[in-house]
Amino acid sequence: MILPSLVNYFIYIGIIIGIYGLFALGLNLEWGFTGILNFGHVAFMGIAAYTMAILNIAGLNLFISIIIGIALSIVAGVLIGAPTLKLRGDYLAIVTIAFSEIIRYFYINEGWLTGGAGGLSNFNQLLGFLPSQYKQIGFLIVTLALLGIVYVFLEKLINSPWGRVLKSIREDEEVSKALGKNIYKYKIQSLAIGSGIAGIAGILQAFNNYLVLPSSYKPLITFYAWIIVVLGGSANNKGSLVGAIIFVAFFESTRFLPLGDVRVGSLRMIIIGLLLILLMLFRPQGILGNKEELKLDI
Amino acid sequence: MNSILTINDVKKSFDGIDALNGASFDVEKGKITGLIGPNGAGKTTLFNTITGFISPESGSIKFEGEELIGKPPYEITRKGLARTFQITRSLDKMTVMDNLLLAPREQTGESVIWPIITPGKVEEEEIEVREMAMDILEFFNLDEHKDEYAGSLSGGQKKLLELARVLMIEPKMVLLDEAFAGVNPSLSNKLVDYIKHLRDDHEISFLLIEHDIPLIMEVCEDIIVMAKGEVIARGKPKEIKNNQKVLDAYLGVVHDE
Ligand SMILES: Nc1ncnc2c1ncn2[C@@H]1O[C@H](COP(=O)(O)OP(=O)(O)OP(=O)(O)O)[C@@H](O)[C@H]1O
Ligand SMILES: [Mg+2]
Repeated sequence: MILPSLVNYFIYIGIIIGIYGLFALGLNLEWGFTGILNFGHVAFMGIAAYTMAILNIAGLNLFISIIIGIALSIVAGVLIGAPTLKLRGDYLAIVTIAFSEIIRYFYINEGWLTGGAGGLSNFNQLLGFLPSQYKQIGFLIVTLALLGIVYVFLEKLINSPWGRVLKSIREDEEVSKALGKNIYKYKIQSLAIGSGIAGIAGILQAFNNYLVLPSSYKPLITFYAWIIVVLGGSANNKGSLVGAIIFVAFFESTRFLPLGDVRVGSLRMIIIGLLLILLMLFRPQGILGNKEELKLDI
Repeated sequence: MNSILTINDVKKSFDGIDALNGASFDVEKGKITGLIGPNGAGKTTLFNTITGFISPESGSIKFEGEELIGKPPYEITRKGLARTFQITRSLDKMTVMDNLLLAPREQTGESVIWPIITPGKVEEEEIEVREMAMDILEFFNLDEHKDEYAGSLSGGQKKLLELARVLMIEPKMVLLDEAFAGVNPSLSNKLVDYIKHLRDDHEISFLLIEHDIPLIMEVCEDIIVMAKGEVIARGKPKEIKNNQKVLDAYLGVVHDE
């Protein structure tokens, strides 16, 4: 029965692309459109996932647990942004990456709440009511639907006067201020929305794995999002989706190399590194990025 | 005198250098006032202080009677006090049109929720500001470039863009830091006329920093001269021309233009 398993495999890949696509869209709003150097994006994914799992295991309704999880990611974005978004970009980068590591160590150490290194798995399934043969495809549909909704929402915002202010902040904060914009407020909003989107991705990932684990929220995952955004082209939502497709396809296609996990892992990083160097040399704006609009200048 | 801006004993030093050393003056409402002085006199620093980009050590700056010191730049702009920068700051990676559309105050669509909840209202407002922007762009001969990235404009055009953008704020008062530098003479005459028209018909007050003395003598009815962080003279163009202190301040100062 090779066909059904192949179909299932592609469904699985579709789900992963959806999750990474969402995750990258959140970062693209922050970095691509606002110029916020967030190196702790993964933290907001984990906060939503853990919150959902903890609350649901404690007996709260699944749907409400999901909503609270995402809300908490948004709140965390505001709380991290409030004291740091007045700092220079490089400080923000340090603070966010430190925050994401602190959160991860919290998951590992506070086992009474988080299950420690083994994580949490006793939360309900999202589509528990579906017959088992429809669960995967159902989950793909949910994932892609959420991706579509978030994409349309972001496109609307980016092309609105609000998005115009973000772009001005990205380019020259002083001008933005001189034109009467409260840039601090906009940066917090951008980080909050980006974090909420990361939260949605985190919840989907948790359901997809039936598990939340501290090791799913390593800084490496944040950098995957960076690779996707830069590859696809910063400040272009379509680019983030194309980036996610290429990234996941590459990841999966190297999965079956007969080299063993560790070596494949290293090989991937070497290849990705080389690809990024080539990209920066020949197409610094990324695949779909607009050259006039965004060279990678920090 | 009905003053719109009152500056009183403002002090600011950078690493022991007094850039502003107790500067005081006021600007009359509905007038075009000139601010001149040799390089390093503290003119730009004063603009930065007025608009909230720099906080001074002491002093008071009042706009329409309201203290500005301690307020962030965006609040000051929203009160109707707008500025341009000495070094042109166009938003190069945005289109010429977007540069202008960014400027108007209190746009509904600039809050994060309204573009989603009431896209229709936001769109209506956009059409209005777009029309206003087209009028201004036409005046500055930039209308053909409206969809180009601002980065593709020439230096002179960028100066005009910055001026056009500041007018989109519909300010009560404009501070122009060397807006005419690098603009060709025929255009600069046109600009002078336009500024006079804005003053006459829209009662906008102007404070201009300019090194082109003949130009400033022609445009301004009132001139303030600064040197070493202080106001050293004030008066009508004729009085300034014959003021010994002013001549002394400029003497020996080599101009870099
Ligand atoms: N950010 C800063 N840091 C350090 N020193 C500064 C800063 N800004 C201005 N200064 C100094 O303050 C003094 C006043 O400078 P300012 O730019 O205000 O002069 P200006 O009158 O605008 O001169 P110009 O006509 O050349 O533009 C100068 O000595 C300058 O070097
Ligand atoms: Mg200056």
